[in-house]
Amino acid sequence: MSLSLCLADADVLIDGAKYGFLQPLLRTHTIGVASTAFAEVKFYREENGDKHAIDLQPVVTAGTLTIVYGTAAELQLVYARGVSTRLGVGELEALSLVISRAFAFCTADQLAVKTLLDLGCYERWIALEELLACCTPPQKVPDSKYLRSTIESRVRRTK
Amino acid sequence: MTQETVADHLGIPRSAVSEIETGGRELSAVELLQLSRLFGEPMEHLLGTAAHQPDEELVMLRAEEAVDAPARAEVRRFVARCADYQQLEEWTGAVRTPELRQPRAILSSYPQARTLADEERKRFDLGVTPAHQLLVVLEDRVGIKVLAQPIGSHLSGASVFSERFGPAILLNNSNTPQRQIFTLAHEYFHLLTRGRVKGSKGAQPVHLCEPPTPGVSRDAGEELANQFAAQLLMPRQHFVDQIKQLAEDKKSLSNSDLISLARYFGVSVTAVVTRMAMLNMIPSKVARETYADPELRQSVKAQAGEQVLEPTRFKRLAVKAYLAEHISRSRLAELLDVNTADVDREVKRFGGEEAGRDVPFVMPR
Repeated sequence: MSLSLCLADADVLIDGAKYGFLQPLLRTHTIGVASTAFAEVKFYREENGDKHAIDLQPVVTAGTLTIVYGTAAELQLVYARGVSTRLGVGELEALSLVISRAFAFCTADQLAVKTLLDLGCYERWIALEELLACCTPPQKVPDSKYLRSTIESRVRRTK
Repeated sequence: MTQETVADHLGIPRSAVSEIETGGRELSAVELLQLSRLFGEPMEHLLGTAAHQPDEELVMLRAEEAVDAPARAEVRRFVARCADYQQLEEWTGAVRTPELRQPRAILSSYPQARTLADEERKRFDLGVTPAHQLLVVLEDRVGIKVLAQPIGSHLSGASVFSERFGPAILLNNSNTPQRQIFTLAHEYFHLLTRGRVKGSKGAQPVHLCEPPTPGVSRDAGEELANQFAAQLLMPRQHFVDQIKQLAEDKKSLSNSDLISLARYFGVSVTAVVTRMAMLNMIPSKVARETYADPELRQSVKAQAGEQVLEPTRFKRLAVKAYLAEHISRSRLAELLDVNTADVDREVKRFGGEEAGRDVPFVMPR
C-alpha cells in the first residue's frame, strides 16, 4: 500500500457530497476510506431536513476512492489501548490502519485527533483545509471545524 | 447459532466460517462488526480486549437460553447498552443512586401486590392515571435505566439488576406504546421485589418476560407483577368510578367507550378489559371474547394515531457527553442508532436544556 494514501472519515465524505468538494478532493489526492466508515456514507441532509442519497460506488469502481479493509487483528491493537468507548467503529478502524499500515487520516473529530496524539501518530493527521488547499482550483473549507487551528485548540483543551 | 446462520449473515460460504473458527482465515473489521450485531456483543468482547464480565451477567446469558437467537442478541445488546449508559452517567456527572424501596415482607398474595402498587403511586405522586408520567418518573426520579429495542414477539420486556450498572428495564418497542407501559410497570415490580415473592424462582439477575401462553401456568411472580401493574396504572376505585360514569345511562359499554377508557388511563384496550375481569365486573369469558372481537381491534387500530413511547434519558446523556467532548460524533451516532448524517438533528432533539436537565431528584422522606 502506498504511504501517500489518506483515509477520510465518514463526515468528510458526507460533507464532501453535501458541499461539492468531494470530486475535486478525489481528483487531487489518493483518498481511501475504512470499510466500516464507508458503510456509514449513505446520504446527507440539507438544513431544511431534505435527504439526498450519496452513491460512492462509481468513484470506487473508477478507482478514485479506495475502500480499505482493516482486519480484526489490526482493530485489536486499538481496542487494547482502551479508547473504544469514546470513538465510533469507523474511526477505530481508520486508526488501526494508521497504526499498522502507516496511512494518513483526515478527520475533524478532536477525540480522534487526540487519540492519534496518544497513540504517537499525531503527524499522520491531516486537516481538511490542507487537502482542499491543494485542490485545483483550491476549495473553501465549509465549516471552521475543518481548520487545523480549531481542532488543535480543542485537542489542547482535552489534554 | 449454526455456521450456516453466521455464513448467511456475513455473506460468505460456510467453509469460510469454519476457516475463521480454526484460525485459517482472518476476520475483517466489517465482518467483526456484522458479528457484533448478530450476537449483540460489543466488538471488544469478541476481540477479547474487554474487561471481565461480572458473574451475574454471565448467569443472565444462561437464563436467556429459553428465547430465540435474535431476541437473545437483543438482550445482550441491551446489557451492553446499560454499561454504556453507566459510562455516560459517569462522564456527565449524572450517576444516580437508585431509589428502589424493597417491600419488607415476602409477597405471596394479590392484595399485597396491589398494596405495593398503591404505595408506589403515592410515593411518586403519580395521580390517578400514572401511565402518562411513569416512564419519566422511573428514568429521572427512581434512577432506573430504561431502554427500548425491538425484541421480536417472544419477549415483552426484561429487567436486569446489575452490580455494574444498577437496575434497568428493556421494553420491546415492536409492541404498542400502551403495551410497553404495562410492561414497564410489570418489570418495575420485578425490580422492586427481587427475591421477595413466595413461590417464584427467587432473585434473578435478569428477568425475561414472555407473553402468557394459554394453558401454561406462570411463575407466581408473573401473576403478582400483573396485579401490581394493573393496580398501579388503573387504580381500582378510580377505574370503577370511570366505568360507572360511562355506563350511567346505558346497560353496556361500547367499543368507543372502551377505547376512551384505555386512552384516559394510557393503557391498551386489552388491559382495560382484563382489569374489568380482574375486578369481577365482567366474566373472564366475556373479556376474552371482547378483546378477540375483530371490530374492536379494527377501531383500536384506526384510532391508534402516532403515539410513541420513547425513553430519552440515555439519549440526553449521550448528547450531553458529545457536547462535552467525551465521545466522538460517530460514537454518538452509534449510541443513538442513527446515521452519522442525522447526528445534528438528534443533537437538536436531545441537546440544549434537555441534555442539561439531569438534576438528581431528592426523594420525599
